[in-house]
Amino acid sequence: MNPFVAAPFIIIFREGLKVCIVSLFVISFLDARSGDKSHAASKWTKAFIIGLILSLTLSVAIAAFTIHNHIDVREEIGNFIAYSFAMLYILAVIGLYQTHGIELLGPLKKAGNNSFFVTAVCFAVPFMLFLPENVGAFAFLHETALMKGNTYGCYFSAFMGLVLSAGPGIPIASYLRKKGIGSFFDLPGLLFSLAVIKLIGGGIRGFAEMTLVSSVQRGAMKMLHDMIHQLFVILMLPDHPLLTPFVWRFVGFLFGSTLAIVIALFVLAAPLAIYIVKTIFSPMTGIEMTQEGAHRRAFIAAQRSRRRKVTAPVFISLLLVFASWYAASGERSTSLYLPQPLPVVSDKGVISIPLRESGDDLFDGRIHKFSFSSGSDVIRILIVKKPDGRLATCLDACEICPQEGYGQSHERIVCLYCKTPIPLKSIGEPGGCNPIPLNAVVTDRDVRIQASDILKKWQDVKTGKTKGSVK
Amino acid sequence: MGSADEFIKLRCVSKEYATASALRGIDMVVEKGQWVSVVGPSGSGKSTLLNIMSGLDNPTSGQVVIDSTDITAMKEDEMARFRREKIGFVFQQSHLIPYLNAVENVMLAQYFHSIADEREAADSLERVGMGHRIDHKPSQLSGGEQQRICIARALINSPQILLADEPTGNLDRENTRKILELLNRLYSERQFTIILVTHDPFVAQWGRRTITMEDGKIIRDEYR
Ligand SMILES: Nc1ncnc2c1ncn2[C@@H]1O[C@H](COP(=O)(O)OP(=O)(O)OP(=O)(O)O)[C@@H](O)[C@H]1O
Ligand SMILES: [Mg+2]
Repeated sequence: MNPFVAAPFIIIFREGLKVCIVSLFVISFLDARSGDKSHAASKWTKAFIIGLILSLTLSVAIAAFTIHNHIDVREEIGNFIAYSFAMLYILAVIGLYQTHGIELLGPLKKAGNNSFFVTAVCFAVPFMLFLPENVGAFAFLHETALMKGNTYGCYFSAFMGLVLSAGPGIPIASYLRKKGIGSFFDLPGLLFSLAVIKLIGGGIRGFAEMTLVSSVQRGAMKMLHDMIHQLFVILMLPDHPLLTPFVWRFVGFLFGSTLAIVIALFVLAAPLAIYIVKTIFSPMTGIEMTQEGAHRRAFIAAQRSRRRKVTAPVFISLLLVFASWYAASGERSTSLYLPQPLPVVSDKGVISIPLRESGDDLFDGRIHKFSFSSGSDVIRILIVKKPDGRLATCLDACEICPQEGYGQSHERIVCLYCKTPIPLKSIGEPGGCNPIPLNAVVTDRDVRIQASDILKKWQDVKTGKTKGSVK
Repeated sequence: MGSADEFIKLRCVSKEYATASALRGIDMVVEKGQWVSVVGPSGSGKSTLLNIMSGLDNPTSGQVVIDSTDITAMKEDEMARFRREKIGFVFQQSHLIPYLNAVENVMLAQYFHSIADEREAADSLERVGMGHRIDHKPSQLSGGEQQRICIARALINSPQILLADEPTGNLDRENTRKILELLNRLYSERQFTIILVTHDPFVAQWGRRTITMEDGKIIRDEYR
């Protein structure tokens, strides 16, 4: 049996690296914070390391438990990663305000001087930093081992990943720790850096799966989409003069990925940029105390050097946000599945599409397109199996955009015009960017659709009078 | 802070070269704020002593403690920082950068210490009586004027110790007197510690204490 399996190796290697880097950052931050309270610092570091070990143990246990009981936790893991990322980010922003004298969390600042509280936080932090990722990684490892039927190879490869990441990682990290890398972090800078490591650290499926950038983007898209959709539902009085197909052309922009990318990038990058500007340009404090020439200059030089230092990791984080977004956008644009529509005709006003025909299976989880000619129009129909196992039958068009139809990317279909991704499970529901549902009857042999239903809805779409399908 | 009466302390400091022994077991203590003249014939080890006190040179054996810090045990970069924060130098040759003007030469010292500050540099030149020459290059200045700039440069970072090796060696009597008057004025204003090497008795008498060296040893240590 093949003793080397790439995927477990890569995943464990990556998680090992992340643990090394993140621990390095946190521990050297604690070192630098300690000042003369170095006894407290070592206590905090111990708490962090104990938390780290427990969180890893717990992730193995959770992963084993879920796999054993056939619970699919992928969705939850993704959410947890996203939540912990968001939490770090929000904490960093709060820290940013605190640093610049805007006390959002006055009481917390007091708590920060309480050594017991800090110890507790140091213990808890690894759970937030590592738990979801590592449950995902270990679940992935178990799952791959089961699926490939090559338990030995998978665990061996994972072990090699651990050896190759922690082997060089731990000595390098302790070297950098001694070099005083902790002076590169203030609290918001540390939190931003940890958040961005999460952001680009990827999900559980691949090394470069930029789950979180696209998540933020999807979140922004969904929010915009829902807002605008609601607005249009409200505005959609019959024959509203503004609702011409010409106008629809521009609405796509609002729903589209372009604006969502701008918003997502803004949400991600703005705090980092503000941090950098604030840190570099805010007036120096305490300078009045040291008026004398050389001391004054030494004071200013020290402040400047500290500012340069602490902005460095945040600046790198900012670059990483853009880089990961760029990488993710490349990944998205190349991975759409676009089948050719198969022509169908109506028989006595009914179109019948067989469930299975010549190796083509409507239930295979991929989208299927059919084209139906009526006069000069070629109307496209989209059929796909939803996660609940039922078939969704729709027009390959939505109410909003020009009728370019959809492509598929994993668990989503994506509007070719506005690039809005729509989860498979919401297909078949009417409204907005969803493909317009058709009244179809699924028998044990075929899907039957009334030609009149298709023609009417297509006509509405073409003229922009889609209110008929809006609830 | 070290105790004021043992600000600089040398214990059994020796320096051996392949061909000669420059210092042979020097023991000496300098109080904070003292002005010490070091005299002695050529080759008696005066410059070597100064270089070892500033950490520019390492002793073959022995210990140098400044302000309670053993500088012989310091690492290279700690030593560099120590020097730039605590010690100012004036040499016989001015060692000014020829293509920088007076104020830029002073600003360079500020820059190596922390950051450059042109106003402060110009003020310091004003205080050594060179306010009217701030944009002159060293080649456009007399020897005495160059030494004034060197003094401004040596003191710009508020050092606790000024080490001067024959600062007036190239000057005539009149200019020598002016430089020493200047040094004396700054010394009484700022109370740094001066160790000044010379073989001119006229220069040596400006200090309250004179150490005489011969053949790598201290043979006399007198107060006045
Ligand atoms: N780099 C060196 N290599 C070998 N011998 C050296 C070196 N530097 C100095 N010496 C020797 O060490 C002894 C002391 O030299 P040093 O320069 O300290 O004398 P000095 O008292 O400053 O003399 P001067 O008054 O002429 O400047 C001299 O004999 C000199 O030849
Ligand atoms: Mg000499």
